[in-house]
Amino acid sequence: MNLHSNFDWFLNPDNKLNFGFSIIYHDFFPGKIKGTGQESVIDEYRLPDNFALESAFYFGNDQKITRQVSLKYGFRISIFNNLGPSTLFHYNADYQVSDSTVYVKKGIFHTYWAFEPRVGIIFRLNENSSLKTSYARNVQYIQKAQNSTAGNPLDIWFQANPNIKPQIGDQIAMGYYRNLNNNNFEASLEVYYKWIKNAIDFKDHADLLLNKYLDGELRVGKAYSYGLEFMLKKTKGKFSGWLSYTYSRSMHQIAGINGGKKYPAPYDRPNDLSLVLNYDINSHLSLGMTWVYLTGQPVTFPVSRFEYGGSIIPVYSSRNAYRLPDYHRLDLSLNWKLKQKKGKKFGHSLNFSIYNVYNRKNPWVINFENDPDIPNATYAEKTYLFGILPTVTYNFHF
Amino acid sequence: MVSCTERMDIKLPKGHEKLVVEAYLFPGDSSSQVRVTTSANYFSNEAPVTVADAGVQLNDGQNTWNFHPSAKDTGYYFLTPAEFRATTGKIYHLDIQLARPIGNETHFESETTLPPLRIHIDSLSIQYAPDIEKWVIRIFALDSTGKDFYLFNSRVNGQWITDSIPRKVVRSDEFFDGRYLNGAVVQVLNKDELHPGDHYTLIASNITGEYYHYIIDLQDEVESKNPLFSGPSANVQGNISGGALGFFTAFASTSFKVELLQTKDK
Repeated sequence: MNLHSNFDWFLNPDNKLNFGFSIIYHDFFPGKIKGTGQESVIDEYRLPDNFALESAFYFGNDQKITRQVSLKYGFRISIFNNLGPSTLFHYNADYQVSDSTVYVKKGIFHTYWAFEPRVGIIFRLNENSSLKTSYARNVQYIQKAQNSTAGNPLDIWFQANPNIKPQIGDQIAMGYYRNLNNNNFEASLEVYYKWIKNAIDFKDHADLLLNKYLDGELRVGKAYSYGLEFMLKKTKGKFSGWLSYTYSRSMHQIAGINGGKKYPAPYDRPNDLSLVLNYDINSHLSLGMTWVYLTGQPVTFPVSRFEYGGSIIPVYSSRNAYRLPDYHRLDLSLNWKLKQKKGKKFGHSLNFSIYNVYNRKNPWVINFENDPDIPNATYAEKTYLFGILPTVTYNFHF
Repeated sequence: MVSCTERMDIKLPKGHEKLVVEAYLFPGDSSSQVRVTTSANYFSNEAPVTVADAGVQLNDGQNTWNFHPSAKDTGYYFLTPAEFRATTGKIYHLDIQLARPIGNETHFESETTLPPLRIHIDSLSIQYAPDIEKWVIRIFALDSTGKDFYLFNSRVNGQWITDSIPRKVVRSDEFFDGRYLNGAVVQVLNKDELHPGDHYTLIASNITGEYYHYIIDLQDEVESKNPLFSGPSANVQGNISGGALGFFTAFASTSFKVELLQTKDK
């Protein structure tokens, strides 16, 4: 349940205030399992709900200092209350449950609060260029229990509590923006650095499903990321598009994972290049091209093996010490705006596209399997999604 | 979703050699055994190198037993039932001394206990499920109140069917503690693994929680990964010291043997 109120107050031509509050009541349902049929050994097993109240008050001002300089500043005060009824498990140094506290009554049994400032400055160097710099702190009280590299319906949300402190992220960013060639081109270059306290990750072989001791599966540490983003955009004329390149790194360092050493985050893709081009042949026909390139995703590969219980078991490297092959693909499209009757709102178009024109087999996952035909032999196998894929789409609006 | 799978060539780095210990203690008529091998490069594609000259010793704080190396199977060390039978509740300490260091270590050790055998099978049923073309084995047994971990294995005509990690079935009684298992599925056999006239044996064991988690984690690592559902690949923690791989465990088993007289379609 959510109550939110927002106000904008134009104090004067140089000051636009923005403030408001939000109150969110959370009811977390971790999950249940219910057997069906006579032979089922389970009636119903349900983890108890968890409750929380998340409140925030925020205030900000867009202030014009001079013709060249603008300031954007503000703050957010957030409060997070854990509510009963609830059972809080306590863990020892080995993350084993050592005790529990039962909060029988409804009401607040624990509170976190945070002051989250943010400030940004814009310098208009001239009519065509500007410089921006900013700092912001964000505190996150709700995390997603996601152990896979992609989201799925089994993901579980969980809250900060006496065992799990909220994540605190601080980010600084700076950017240079310039319009070129009579505003035919827009260019920008931005750099950022972000560091996170109380970053979380799951221990190796974490048990997430229907686990009432979920806090014991978590490990807490720090994370940081930094990057540089370049963009060049052409917005006018028959020929338009943009080129963007980002160099970025994202690393975690969490006690109990990877021996406490730094490791790349699953989404650490240092090089990210996109080229998007559009050409208007006439008022009805346009061509499009997209080429994307990404450094391969970090993965953990085996470096040796052993035999146990009749099976070959891999022995792995450090977490995310290797990478999948780089990802890239080319898409082409032709958009045909079909005739629209004068005065009618109904409009339609046909789109002919080819996804992944050169049929790049970008690996989605690489698995290592036992060879069923040769004893003791193993091999690597990649699974890739979507080779070359032609599509036809009919769009309409009214 | 459109996807394809194909083999690929990939160059992997070489890992450091590690000792591998697979050790079991039994209370009944089976010989307790220890297998000592070493790890190998991932694509070595050969049977593991065995360690034939290790000193393998067991003690329970009062008595000491020396495992005998097998003359037939190098790397295996045995204690016959006449020499040793594990006892419930005792802590057993395994000691391995090597003639040459592996992983810069020559001495490795581990500990385990024998959990009580609490599962008693009243009956079982075997049905062929034509929709999945599998034999489904169900048990009728009481789960005692209290934390239990189970391991289920199968033999057909004396031959092990569950002879690899993915085939082993381990269960925790978290969702059915103290309940009667009224036809719970404990094994699934392939169509060609069972025929009328065969003698099928289900072996049910009470195992430690640590061994249960070890098998679960091994299964996680030997099965294919799917980015939608799988966690990151990670090494499975055993209970052998000195950076060795593998596990030392003890368990008691009960078996239930039937002759498959005729098939019955589900």
